[in-house]
Amino acid sequence: MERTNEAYVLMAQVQVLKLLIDNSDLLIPEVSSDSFSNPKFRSLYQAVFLLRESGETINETSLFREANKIDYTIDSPLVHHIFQQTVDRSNLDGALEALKDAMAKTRIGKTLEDIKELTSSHEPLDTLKVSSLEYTIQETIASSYKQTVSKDFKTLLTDYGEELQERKKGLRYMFNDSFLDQYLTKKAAPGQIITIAGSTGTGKSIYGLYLMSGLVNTDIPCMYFSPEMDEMSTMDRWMAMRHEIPIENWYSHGHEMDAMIKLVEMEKKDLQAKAFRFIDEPDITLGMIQHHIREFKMAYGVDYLIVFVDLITQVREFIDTKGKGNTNLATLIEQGVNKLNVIAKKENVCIIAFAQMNREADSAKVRSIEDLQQLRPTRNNIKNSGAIAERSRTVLSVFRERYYADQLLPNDPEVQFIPDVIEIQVLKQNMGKVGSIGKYNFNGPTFTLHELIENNEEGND
Amino acid sequence: MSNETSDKYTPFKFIQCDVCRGKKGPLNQPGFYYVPKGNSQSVIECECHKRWVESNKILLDAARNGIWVGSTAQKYTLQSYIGTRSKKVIVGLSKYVEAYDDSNTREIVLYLYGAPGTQKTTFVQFMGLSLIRKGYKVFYTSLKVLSDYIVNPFSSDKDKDEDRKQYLSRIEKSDCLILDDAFDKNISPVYSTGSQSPYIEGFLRERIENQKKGILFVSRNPPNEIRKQGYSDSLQTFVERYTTKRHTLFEMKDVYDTFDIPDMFKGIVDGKD
Repeated sequence: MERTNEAYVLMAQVQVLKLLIDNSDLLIPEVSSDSFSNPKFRSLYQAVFLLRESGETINETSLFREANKIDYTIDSPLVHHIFQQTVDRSNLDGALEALKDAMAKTRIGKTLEDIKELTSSHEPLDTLKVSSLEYTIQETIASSYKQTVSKDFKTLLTDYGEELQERKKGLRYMFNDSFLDQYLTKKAAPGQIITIAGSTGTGKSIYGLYLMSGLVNTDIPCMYFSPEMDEMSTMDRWMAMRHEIPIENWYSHGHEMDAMIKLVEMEKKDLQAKAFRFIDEPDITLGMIQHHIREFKMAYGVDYLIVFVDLITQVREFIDTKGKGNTNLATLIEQGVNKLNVIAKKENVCIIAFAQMNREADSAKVRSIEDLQQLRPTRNNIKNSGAIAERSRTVLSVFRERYYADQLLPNDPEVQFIPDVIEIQVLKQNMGKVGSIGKYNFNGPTFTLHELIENNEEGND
Repeated sequence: MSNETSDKYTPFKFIQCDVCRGKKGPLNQPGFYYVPKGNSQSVIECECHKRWVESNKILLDAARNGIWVGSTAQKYTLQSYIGTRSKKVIVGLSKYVEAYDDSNTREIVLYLYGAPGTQKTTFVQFMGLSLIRKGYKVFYTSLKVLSDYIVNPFSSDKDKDEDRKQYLSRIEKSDCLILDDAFDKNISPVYSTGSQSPYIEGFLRERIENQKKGILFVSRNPPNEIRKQGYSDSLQTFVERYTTKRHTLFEMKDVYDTFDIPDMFKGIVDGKD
């Protein structure tokens, strides 16, 4: 049956009203006065609830009287028509679907009108606002989209068998980093958020670039959202890391720069065909992230990618407290992470979100090298978490002892013997062991990371 | 040899071994080299670098514990000792160091005494460094400093409290405690009330009788003059019981008081212009 039929929608509204009149105990949480696109039915709905509240019997007379107070254009034939309907509760689902549909259409229609207004105005195009309105449309569509979500065992197990066939090949959703691929059970599987948390200066972004470099080299599609660091600084680090040339060389001048420029040309040649996008929008929203992901998939013809967001707490939904009433930051973050989860699942991506460490982790009293271990992060240290840690399937921490030693014990001669190693620890993992630590040798001048192996498996020593 | 009262720690230069020399590795990180792993490269720290780090950490820890670890101290050997009158004592003490793996040896309380300039401190520093090289923890301090920390335990200054905690923690962790300038009122003033003695005796009892850890006393005065220096009878008796009575009391007699003329004063002092 065509649910777009106007008459059907009107009929649905009548049926819902009649059900509410006949069943004084019936409460339908999904329905509000906004669910009624017709203003007269909206007023009748309000009248029904006024009568219920006052305890008066709802009949044609009382309903007409109350509804007329709200909307004088309501006439008695309309009220009579409603009372003529024969409905029972089995009509309810169908009627509600029609109302929901109508509501979605109204909302989408209104949003499109707002977009039209923005685009036809003489003012410069506010792309942020347009993006936000577009997200509203997507959300509305998503909430009203009817699809069969239940599967029987046969379908479930068929799908699962296909998944296992893919896993059997051994290359399913790899990071191409031996620590993560060994210790993260689900590796870079889509539909999940992996949080990487650390204090400032411990190497989160460097680790992100290192992972990305590995993915790019092995043709795994990825995107990098960098609301925190600008494009040029990111490219400085990228080039220094990939070519092991100290960062200051990239700030030379005169003929000294010729070699660097040549390297950039070579890098361009090597990477121009790779499925990769970089966005350094400082005021990014989740809607924009989702939009860019969809655009990426269309442009490259892929249905899976890995998305880096550095820092997640710089995304608008996590920092915008204006106009949110009494909602506190923790709730906002929870809502934001929920939305991020939805994006990860709906768009079939693995999201790697970088988060700041709680400042308390940096305030421990450090008087000796041994005390530095107090600064090792735990799940509790993730800033403004529970939400981020709770909703992330996997949480990894970043710790760099040498960074703290240089800051806090600059005069201690033992500091020079502390290797500059970035440690990645699995703090949380829903389906796997926690506590494992991966070590990466960090070379400061070149921002290079290499996995540090303890024993020479080659037997060279 | 000049008598250095403090011998600063300086790290010795790292020299790559044949394994890692010539191998490609991260920039400015000698001792680390690349090995292929899958599609990429990993890094290994060479064993020679690990040993260099470990050796330096040991010496650094020793320096923090008051042991001389500078180049001069590191070159000192038995043959560096000047004189013959206490040669047998020196040989005996070096046997003590060699036998230190035996737990009974580690419980021994030694007492060295002698006039100023008889190389006591230099030699016990050598003993301390030798024990460190064998893997033991040694702490060198003076009785004056120890008294200050244990006789006045309470302070309103948080930093001082923290210093005290760390100092006593290092002593507790040490296998061998060297107490220099022991029982000398000219160096370590003694209260006329004698109130320090019970604290010192309490500390010594705890270490020697309860923890069963040895101490090496270094003093200008023998144990039978402890009381003359202003300490209590009880303290003297206690020290004598663990040293004189157990034949672990040694006198150093070889005075070494010949020092090189500093270069800047040569020609002035010796009259050779």
